[in-house]
This record gives sequence, structure tokens and C-alpha cells, in this order.
Amino acid sequence: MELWDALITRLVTLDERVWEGKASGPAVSSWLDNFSGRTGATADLERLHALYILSQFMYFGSQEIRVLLRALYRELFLLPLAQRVRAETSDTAEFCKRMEEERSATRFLGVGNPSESGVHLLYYFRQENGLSKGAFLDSAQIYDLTDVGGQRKRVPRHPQVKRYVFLDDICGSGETAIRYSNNLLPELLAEQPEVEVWYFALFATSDGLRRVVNGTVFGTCCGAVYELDETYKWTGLKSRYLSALPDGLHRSLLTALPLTYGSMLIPGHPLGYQESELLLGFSHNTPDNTLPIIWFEQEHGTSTTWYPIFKRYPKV
Amino acid sequence: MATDEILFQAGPGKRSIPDDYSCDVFISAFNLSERVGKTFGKINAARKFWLIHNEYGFSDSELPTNTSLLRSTELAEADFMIDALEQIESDLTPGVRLCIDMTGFMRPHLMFLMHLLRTRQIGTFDFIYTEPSQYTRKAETVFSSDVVEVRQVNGYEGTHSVDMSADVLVVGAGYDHDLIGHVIANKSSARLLQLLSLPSLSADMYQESLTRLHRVADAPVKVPDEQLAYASASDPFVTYIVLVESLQKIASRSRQISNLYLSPLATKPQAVGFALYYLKHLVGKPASIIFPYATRYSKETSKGVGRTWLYELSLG
Amino acid sequence: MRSVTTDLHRNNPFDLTKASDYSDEQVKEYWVDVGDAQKSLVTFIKPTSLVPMFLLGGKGSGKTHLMRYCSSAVQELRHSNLRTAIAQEKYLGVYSIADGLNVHRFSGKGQTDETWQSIFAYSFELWLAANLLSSLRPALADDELKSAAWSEALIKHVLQFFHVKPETLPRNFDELIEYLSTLRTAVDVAVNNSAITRQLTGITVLFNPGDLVFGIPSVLTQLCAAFQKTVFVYLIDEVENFTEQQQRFLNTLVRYRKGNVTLRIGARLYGVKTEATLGSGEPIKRDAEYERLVLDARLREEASQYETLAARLVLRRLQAAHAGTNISEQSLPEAFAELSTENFHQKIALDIVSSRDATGVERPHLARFRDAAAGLIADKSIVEALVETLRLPEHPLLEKVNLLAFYKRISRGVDVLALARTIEQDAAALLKSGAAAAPDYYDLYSHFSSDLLAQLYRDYGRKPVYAGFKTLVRLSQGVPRNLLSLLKHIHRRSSFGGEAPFVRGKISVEAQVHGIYDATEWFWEDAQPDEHGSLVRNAVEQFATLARSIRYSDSPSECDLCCFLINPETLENMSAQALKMAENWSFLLRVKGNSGAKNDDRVLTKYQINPMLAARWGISESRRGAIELKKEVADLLLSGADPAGAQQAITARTETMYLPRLLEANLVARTNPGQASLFDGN
Repeated sequence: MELWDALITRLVTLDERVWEGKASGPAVSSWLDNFSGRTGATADLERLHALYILSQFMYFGSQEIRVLLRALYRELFLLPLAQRVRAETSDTAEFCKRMEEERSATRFLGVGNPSESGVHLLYYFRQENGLSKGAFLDSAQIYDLTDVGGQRKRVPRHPQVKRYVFLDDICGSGETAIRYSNNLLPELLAEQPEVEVWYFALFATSDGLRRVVNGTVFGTCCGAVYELDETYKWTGLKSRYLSALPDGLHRSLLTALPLTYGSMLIPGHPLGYQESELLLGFSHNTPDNTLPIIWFEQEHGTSTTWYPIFKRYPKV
Repeated sequence: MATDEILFQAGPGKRSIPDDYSCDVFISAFNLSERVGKTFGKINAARKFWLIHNEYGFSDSELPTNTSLLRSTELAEADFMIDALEQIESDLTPGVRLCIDMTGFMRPHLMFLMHLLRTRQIGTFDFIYTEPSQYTRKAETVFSSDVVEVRQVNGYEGTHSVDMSADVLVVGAGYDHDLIGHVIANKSSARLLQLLSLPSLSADMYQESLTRLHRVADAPVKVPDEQLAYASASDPFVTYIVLVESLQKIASRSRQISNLYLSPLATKPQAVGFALYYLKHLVGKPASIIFPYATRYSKETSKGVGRTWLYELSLG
Repeated sequence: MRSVTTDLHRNNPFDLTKASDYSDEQVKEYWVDVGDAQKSLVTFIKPTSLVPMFLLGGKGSGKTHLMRYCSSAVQELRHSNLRTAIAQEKYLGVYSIADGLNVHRFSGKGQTDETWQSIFAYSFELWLAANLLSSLRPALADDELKSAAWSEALIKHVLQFFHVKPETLPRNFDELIEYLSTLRTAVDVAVNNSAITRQLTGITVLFNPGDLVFGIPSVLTQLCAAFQKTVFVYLIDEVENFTEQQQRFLNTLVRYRKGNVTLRIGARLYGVKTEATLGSGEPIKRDAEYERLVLDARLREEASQYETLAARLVLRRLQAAHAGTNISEQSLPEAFAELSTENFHQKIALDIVSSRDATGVERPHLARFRDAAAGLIADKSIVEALVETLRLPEHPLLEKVNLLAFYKRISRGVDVLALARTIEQDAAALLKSGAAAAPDYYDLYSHFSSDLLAQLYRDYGRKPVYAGFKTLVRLSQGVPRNLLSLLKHIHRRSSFGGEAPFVRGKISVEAQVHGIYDATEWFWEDAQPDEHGSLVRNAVEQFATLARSIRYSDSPSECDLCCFLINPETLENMSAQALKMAENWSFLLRVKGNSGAKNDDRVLTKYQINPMLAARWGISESRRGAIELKKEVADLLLSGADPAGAQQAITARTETMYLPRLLEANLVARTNPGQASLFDGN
């Protein structure tokens, strides 16, 4: 009882302060009703464990996302740039001038289809950082098609651009970055080898970032505001969620619960896509790297009834 | 102030400590955590010194033996630092390449040191800071300190105005909601600007810190947006920039601030950021840095050794 | 976009809980008073009386709000302008917060206490004087401010107090304020720099202490006919941060008060560290030289006044948030669901026990009784008969009363079965014909019902319930901030639960219980202004543990226990300190009226554990029973020096209230062999 109360108390605070009212009492109750004893434990015990899982959920609301977009720009891009420029000059006016030049020669792009979250965040990114429309490009605008010796060839459309910065909301496996690296960028770099290409994400798993560094043209020119290492994998050996558990919770049930019900929801990926097993959500969506028990809903394809607590809008 | 000017003012910025780093004089505050001890050993310096804070309550047998110790029996931070550093007065001359590991320092002493160095014409020096490798889930300890008094930090006392109708208190909120509560209670007539640590050092810490902040009686939930600010807590330069921007915003949206109080209660780098802002903009003004002083502190905080950052300060 | 609960719940009308956050407009807007001018809270502070007053109160007692309400800024808002306000209200409130002076810096840095004393006094007086002039400025007429003759006269008279005149004389009112400010800044700069310079050069005290504070109002009265009848009131808030030495200066100002000037000094309950004055140190005398008002204690005494105030406070907040617009003072309590006490709490009690009853498990209190009795009475059929007789399935609470009656009346030589039957009959009579039919039994019920109900909740793994507006008023104990905090937390829980508090339907009991528990946590953790944290919390924890151990025992010696009688004079230093600090923090409330002990003429002081904390241990929030603590026990509980000893003391005090010792102590015959067959001599 006491643990239950303590967990609810935590949820009341989280719901009020961070979760934007998306997980109030009635919603939580409905979600908990999903758990009916399938793992073999009693429904009550399952619900206690589910409540614990929910209490560990990390949600970044619209305000927080905006702050992270500002941090991405400032800490991953602007400050390192300022550092390089400052090393070249100790005069304020000169510094400001050079900074302006560097910024003018930089373009920001979103990854993915325009209707996907990576791209829509660009809008907030622009707003939060006071950037002009001209600082942004669509991937299609990187190249021009020209005729070179009877052959159609892609050439850089803006040769004066020195730096292309790709922005993503979450880098799970690094797939997206790899795709861009292989399909979009080779000609650019062939034509203009001195151009810098960067890939930044708000959130990235360590695995994902590693693949970006080792397997793409971005190399070490990548980063994330938040890097989620293996301790963020729910059932991982080093899972930060499963250490130092309060009395009354069983580690085995905590791992069995999302697995059992997840298998029912998405048989191929019971713990979320790309093996990330995350407990992460944003105001604009819940990524599919998160445990399906959190976000799965009937519309996603199967006929299973499930009440989600942090809904996901599918990428169909 | 325009963004680039602020950027320039902020200083060279943070970076990873290079492998070939060296300095003339190195000072570190002794405690039992691995990250303080390891760094002391690894750093390349002509002369190295341990500063011994009385608040840690070390017995003589716990202290390191084969290094010079800087000690004093004085109580207040100014008296203590001046006395303790007297031994190496000849080393602290303008032009010296000085490096200070802030990791184990008490925040008031750290800030006072910056002020002291400046008065001794040592306007350029390096700070280093080592993060722990993992922030273990802090158990819900309710009272981490017995706060004796809230007062101005030596060297950061302003000349305050009798008119207190538009006072502002900026609190850099950390995990310790008890400290936050004391400071807010002490300046109860001031309007509160909550500076939250986002991005946090680890993804789950932000929500965690909010659940704690929520326990502070007088930190309201719904505040006008100029009363909330965000900065990552591991970078004094970002902290500096955010302070400039936030205070500009408050001044532009409401009346001229009558008295300004700052209180950095999160990390040491945050405290350095606050001190930097004060030294560059608030000297001689009705502004002070205040702090909740306790008599004792734990000798060892978090576990492991994470990244080490180098901050090149220039107090110009 | 997924639909989110309406914005109604996002806005908690009780979010802001402290007066200092309010603008002057809000101080006026949120002001809530009781009754008419005669009973107004402002009369507590008596602004036109020349007798200085210390206004003491815990955090959130309304002290600051009251003082600010009397400040010139808010006076001005009550009338068309300040001059009119002064004319009608006959005083000028010069409000200042002592902490703005940042007094901690007047220490150390290589200087003597003596030096600091005079610098502090100088700086403080310059500060008060500047405040006075700024507060008054809006009341001056143009022809005074702009008149060269008037300004010259003003400057001339004020500068008379200065030993040394400035090179450039201020020419008018504003420049005078500026001049005082410059003097104070010079002091500040020298003081701040002394941390490094270790010197305090360049500060000359330019006037005698008290000359500005009392002299300037006198000058103003001479120059302006409008202020002839005005009382100048320095409202100095939060002096608890002053050191003892610094407070002596304040006390000296109180002693040497003169002319049309007076002081209202606000502090925490034990924030006043001394009554001594500077120089000879003769303390100022209460009632002769100053008055003392403890605001929350006063409000607690005027219970109905506070109740009205409480209701109005809530309504004012709701209005300001545009919520609950169809609620009135009278209908406010109906917004809160309450437990039905009808028919001896039958419904609630059955609610609690029914699900476990359905599984066939015996009720815990009966099971315990059965076990204990079986251990002492060899004949099982007697035990069975006892249980059967005392059982009352339809009225679980009365069932517990039955057991309690048994425990209280059992003694050696009594025929246990006969006793049980009498009790059974009493219960039946009560149910059939009411209290008059079984007065003693009813008495027992009415005394212990709340404790027994709490026990029932506990036994069934639930939290004891606190609910209803009247309960909230009682919990807040005369402190508006506490009431607001309770409501804030209740509102949160209610909104989270999908309810629409004050808008639609009643606030559920569940939301209230959770909210109250939240508020209790908040109160317990609320930052207090000194370093006695562990001492105070430990002491209160011990008292509460004792109270709880008694409440949840099988036969409590007192009902609704949350009060203790102690003689503070006999305590050891550490314990006396803990007690005093606990009172300062309002964790313990001193209950007015010294109580004689039960058995002799000693005069004891009664302390109640603040009801705001009651929920933390599930103890009672009503002040009924009290137990006396002798010196040894009180010392153990308060000082924290011997935790094991304290634990033992509690056990020793309570062990005969618990089964099986409860029965053993009363049932086991030592000398009567005739009864031996009933016992197996365990």
C-alpha cells in the first residue's frame, strides 16, 4: 500500500509539473486495467509493477523540447564555433564579424520526410534560436541537376555553404544518419571535400552514435544533447531502473511485464524497435524505441485492445 | 546585449582537458571521492597543493601525507581562503599559469577565490571539473544539511537599495530542495526566478530534480515565463549566457529590479557561472550572491570518474 | 491532438501561499477581515497607539500580510491618495523588511564586535530614515516639494542632527533622500571591501543614534500642518535575523521612543533573542514599555473569528481565480465530501471491513483478542463464548467499543463472561434506545470513537481519514498559510483524480485525505530558519511516537491524544532547548492556560503536536486528552541523547495498553486459588 501511494504521489507531481496533464488519475487507472495477470502474477501485483514502470517514464514536454533545441544549437553548434573563432581573434568587433560569416555559411536541415517529427522540430529550432528562414534547407535543395558532358549530374547548389548541419529528434540505431550519409552526401563531398557535414540529435543511444561515428561521413562531427547509454535499456544488465529497487518489487516481474504484454502487442518487437527498450516520450510524440506497453494503440494494426498512456502517432 | 557580444564576453568556453595539459600551480580541495584523487595524481603541474576544508571534518589521519596542505582554522570563507593561501602567496603572482580543480571545493570558497584572484591581478586561470561516471539514484534523504544561516558570500556583497518593491531572487535549483527552501524563505519578499538544470547531466535527472523542487513550499508551479530559465549545469559559460538573457528579459518585461540576489545551488560549474556573471556585470550594484551555509558536508559524494572538463576563465 | 483535461485544473487557485509574493495591489485584494472596524484584524496591531509592539507569529501566520496591509503603499490604495489616507487613518506606515539590510555582513572580517555594533546601528538608521522619506513622498503636496523655502527649512532642520555637514547641501526632498543613500552606500562599500582589505576606514558616524528615526518625523510634523496628528509607524518585519547585539539596538529604540513615532516589530515566535538594551543593558519591560502580540495564538483563541476568516480566505482565492463563483460562506463546507457518522459510523466501518469479511477471515481486533485470551484462559469454550458475546458484526466500530469496554473493566476476580454479557447488553440498549439507555457505554464510545476508527483503518491497511472543511480549519490552527497549503494540495489531488473541485460535485474524501497527507509532508519539511533541524524533528517524532503508540494500542489510556503536560523548568538544557525550538517552529503549540496536574498542585504547561503534522503519524488533530510527562521521560524524548532510552521509555509507558500484557496484567490472579482452574498459570 505504501509503495503504491508513494508511486501515485510521484505521478501526481510529474503530471502537474512535467507531463502536461497527460497522465492524470483516470488515464492511469485505465492503463493499469490493461494488466490482467498474464505473467502469472496476480493482477494487483502486475499493476503495482506497471505503476513503477510508469513512474520511471521520462517525458519531455513542449517547453522542455524547446529548451533542448536551444541547447542543441548553443552547446553543440554555437559555442564550439565561438571557441574556434575566439582563438583566432581577441577583438570583439572582429569576433562578431567572423561569427556572422560562419553562420551565414551554415545551413540546417531536418532528416526524414517533411511530415515526420525530425523535420517539424526545425520550426521550433528556428524560433527558439532566432534564426532566419535562409539558414534552412530542404535536402532536395542541396543539389542542382546539371548536364555535364551529356550526363545528368548532381552538383552542389550553394557552393558558398561551408557547413551542413542535419538535425534529428532521436537517433536509435543510427539508421537515418547512415542512410543520408550513403544516399545523399557522397556527391557533395566529392565536389567540395572541405565542406563540413554534421549530424545532431536531441536524443541518441550510445550504440546509435557509435555507428554514426564509425559508419558515416559525419564521423566525429556528430553529437546529441542527451546520450542514452546501456543503462537506459529497461531490461539491460546495467539497467538503471532495476537497481536499488524499493521493497515489494521483483526484478523478474519488472522485466517479464513489458515483455509478456509487449509480445501480445507487437510480436516482433515486444520491447520497442531497434532494441532500444527506452522509456522516453515527447510532447509531439512517443518514439517507437519506447516500450510498446506505453504507447501501443489499436489503430496500429492489430485487433488487440490496449489503452495507451502516452500515445504514439504512427509513421505510416 | 547582442548574442555575439555576450558570447565573446563569456569567455573561451569549456573543452575536454587535452592530454598535454600543464600548469605552474595546481590547487585542489581534498575529499575522498575517486574523481578528486585521480585527477590530482594525473595532472601535470610544477607545484601541487591540497586545500583542506574544515567542513568535511577530516581527522589528521585521513589527510594525504606527501603533499603540501593548505589549511586554516578561520571560519568565514574570506578569512579562511586568505589565511590558507598565505603559504603560497609568492606563487600567486600575475602571469602565473594557475589551475584549480573545483570538484571538491565548497561553493562559497570557490566563488570567493575568483574574487580574490581578480584583486591580486590574476585575471586568467583555469578551472577543471570532473563529473562522476554515474549519478546513482539518490535515496530520498530528506535533510542533507543543517543549514545554519543564509547570508551573502564574501566578496559578493552589493550595496543594496532601501526600495525592496521589485526585488528578484535567482535560484540555480539543484537536487537539494532543502537548501532551495532555505534561500527562498530568507528572501521571501523577492520575486523568484528558477534556473533549472536542463539539459541535465543525465537524462533522468531533470524530472528527478523537479519532483524535489516540488517539495519546496514556496516555489510556485505556475509562473510567468520570465520567471523560469534553463541552463545545463556543467558549463559556467552557458550559465553566464543564460543569466544575461534572463535578467535582460525580466528587466524589459517589468520594472527595473530594485535588489538582485543570486544563489547557485546546483553544481560547482554553475556557481562559477554565477560568480562570472557577478564579476562582469554586478560589482558595485545592489546585487549579492547569497548561500545557505551548513556546518558539515559529506566527505564523499557520487561514484566513479566521468569526463573532465577544462574551463579557461578570463575575468578581464 | 489528444484531448487534455480542461485548463480548469491547471490553475490551482491556492498555488501562491505567501504574502511576500504579492504585489501591493494583491495585498489589498487578498486582504480578508472579520466583522466590522471594531473587530478588524487591524485593531490587533493598533497603528495609532504610540506604544511599541512586538508582533510575533509563525511562518504564514498572517503577520507579514497584516504589516504590509498597514504600509503606506497599501494605505494609498485604500484611498484616492496617500495624503487622504493619512488624514483619515491617522498614521503613516513605513514598512521595511529587516533582512534587506543583509545584517550578517556586519561581523568578522577582522573587526571587533564593538566596531560592528556602531556601524550596524548607523547603517540601519540611515536605512530606516531613507525608507521613511520615500514612504512619505507620495503624500507631499506639490507646493511643498517644489517650494524653495519649504525645502530649505526641511534641509536645515534635518541637517541639524548631523555633526558634520556635507560640502554640497541637498537642495530639496529628493536630494535629501539621495544624500542619505550616498552615506549608506559609502558604508556598504567599506564594509564589503573589508573582507579583503581587513580595514574599515572612511566611515564616520555622523549623528547620534535615534536622532534621525525620531527627529525627522518631528521635523516633518513641524513643517506640515497636515501631519500634526499623524503617528509615524515604523513597521519593521523579520528581525529574527538580527544578532542579539543588533536586537539590543532595536530595543534601545523602543525604550527611547519619543514624539509621534512608534514601532511595530515583526518576528518569529522566538525570533526576539533578547530584551536587553545597549549601554546599561536594562531590559525593556513588557506592558510598561511595549506590547507583545502573538498573532496565530490570538487567532486560535478567537476560534469563531478564525473560522470566518478561513472561509473568506478561501472564497477570495476562488474569486480571484474565477472558480467556484456560486459558493458562499455558508455553502463552502458542502464542497467537501465527508464521512457519514450516522448510526455509530456504521457505514464507514462496514465499508472498511467488508471485503476481508467476505473471505471469511476473522476481524483483526477479534483475532488478537482471541489469541491473547487463549493464552491466559485454559478453557477454550470460555474464550469462544467471550468472543461470541462481544462480537457485533453489523457494527464493527461498536464491536471495538465492546472490546475496549472489556479491557477497561476487566480486573482480577471479575467474572469475565458476566462482564462480556453486560457489555453486550449495553451495546444493544444503545442501539435500540440511544445514549440515555447506556450512558457509561456511550461515554466510552464518544470519547474513543475517533481513535477506534483510526485503528480500524490501520488494521485494514488504510490511512486514517481526515476530511471536511471544519477539519481543515482545525488542522490549520490559526495560520492562514497552512490552510492555503491544505487546499492547494487537496485541489491538486482532486484535479488529478478527474474531479472538478469547487466547480462541479464534491471534493472526494480520498482527494482530501491524500491532499492532507501531502500538506503534512510539506509542513514537516518546510525550511526553518535555524540549525536546530534534527533536534526539533527528533523531539517531535518522539512525542508523536508516544502519542501514536497510545492511540493504536488495544486500550488507550487517553483519547484523541496529542497533548502533553510538562514542567519546562525542570528540563535539562538540551531538552529545554528542543522544546523551545519546536515551539519556535510551530511544530509544538503551547496551549494557553496552565493546567494543574491531575494529582497535585504543580503547575504544568500543555503542548500540542501541531495538527498540521497529525496525519504524519495518524494521530488525532483534536485537542482532548493529555498526558503528563515527568522530567526523566520528557528529557529522554526531547534531548535525543539516548534514542534507545527514549524507545524504552515509550514502551514502558504503553506496554500495558497492548495485548497480551493488557490482559495478563489484569487477569492473572496471584493469590486466589479459587480462580485457578480458569488459568493455566501462564
